[in-house]
Amino acid sequence: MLEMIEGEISPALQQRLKGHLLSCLTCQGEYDALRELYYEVKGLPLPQETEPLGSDFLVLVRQRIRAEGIEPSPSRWSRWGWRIPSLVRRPLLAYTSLVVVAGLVTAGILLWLFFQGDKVNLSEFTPEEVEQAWELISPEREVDMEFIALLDSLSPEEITSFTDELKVEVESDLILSEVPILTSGYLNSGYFYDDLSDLSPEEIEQIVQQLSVKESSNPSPQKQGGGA
Amino acid sequence: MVSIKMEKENVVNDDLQLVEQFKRGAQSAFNELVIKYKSRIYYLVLRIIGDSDEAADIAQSTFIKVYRNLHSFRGRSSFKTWLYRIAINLSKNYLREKVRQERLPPLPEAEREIEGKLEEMIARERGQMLREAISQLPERQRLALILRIYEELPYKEIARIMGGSTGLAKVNYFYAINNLRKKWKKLNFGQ
Repeated sequence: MLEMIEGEISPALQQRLKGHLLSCLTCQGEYDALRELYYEVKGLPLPQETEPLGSDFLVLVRQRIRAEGIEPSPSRWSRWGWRIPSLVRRPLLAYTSLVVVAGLVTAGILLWLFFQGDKVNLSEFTPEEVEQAWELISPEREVDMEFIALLDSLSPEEITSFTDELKVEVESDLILSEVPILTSGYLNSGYFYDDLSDLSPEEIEQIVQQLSVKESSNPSPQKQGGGA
Repeated sequence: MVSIKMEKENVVNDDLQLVEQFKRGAQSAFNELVIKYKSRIYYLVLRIIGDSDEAADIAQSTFIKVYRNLHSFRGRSSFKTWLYRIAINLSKNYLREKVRQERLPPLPEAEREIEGKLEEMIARERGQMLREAISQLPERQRLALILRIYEELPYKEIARIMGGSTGLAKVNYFYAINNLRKKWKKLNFGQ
């Protein structure tokens, strides 16, 4: 009946239902009551009489973005931009700067390539170690909500194969949409494992050592051993 | 029907283009997204939490969260779905933190002395009762009802926003209507 009220059923089915309603007083009464309720809810005014949002909304959002320090600063470019013409007037200085910058970029690329070739095998660590390591590295890490939205759209079978692939356990009854901004939701999403795999073995080793020191001074009964 | 679908696709593409522009450093693209969606988000949040000042604040927070996370948005869902999801999660958090264990506060307009015609009083009273009944629905049912009736979203999109399957979104909505009908009947006829 509800689908009929919303106009979501085929014309043929609609005809059949209408025919039935004409001959059945009980269903007709139900239909009328449901229809009345539907339109009453739909026509319900907003909870408070309110002015539409003004043009200052964007200004306020921008102010808060600036206050939170997440806006890329354009002043950095303007601060350095004026120096470029003066460099043109002094070619030797410009040439030296160029060589230094090129050298730094090359060194950066080489370092990056060096670490890329040497990824950590996360299966060597227990889930507890990885979880604690992550907490040490980046407790305030922002959650990738889009990724969690993707997880939500997967079927249980897809989730299983996905988690098998990443060797991550996702609680079967976890409603991911309920936890996207909680750390636990992020941990369960498996995405942080991905991030952790970008670390070098040395970094992981250092973290595990810190954990061992922490552990020996404060042994935890829940620790399951194994790992690195 | 085809033109509606094409229009929707255009909207999605426009949004994605703006997102891409923003990722390439165009701050004005973010402004366009805010201007395009600010009212929809504001009214959606207002329907959920029932307080216009807080709704404006949550709408702002939604766009700040968008700004913060837009670089990691990979377009696997539409921007609108992602945006609604953030707004709903922030609204849910607000309700959990601020209005835990208590029903939504009575609305100022209902508290004011009503001077007017009897019909108007009755209409206001009915609206207030109905809003009260909606506020007492379980959270997922209430959200499904708001997204379906006021935002007129298809079940598939509701499912993407709320999490879970399309079937679950439909079930939540049907249960919401059914529960509301029972409450409404009770309020109207005292049964």
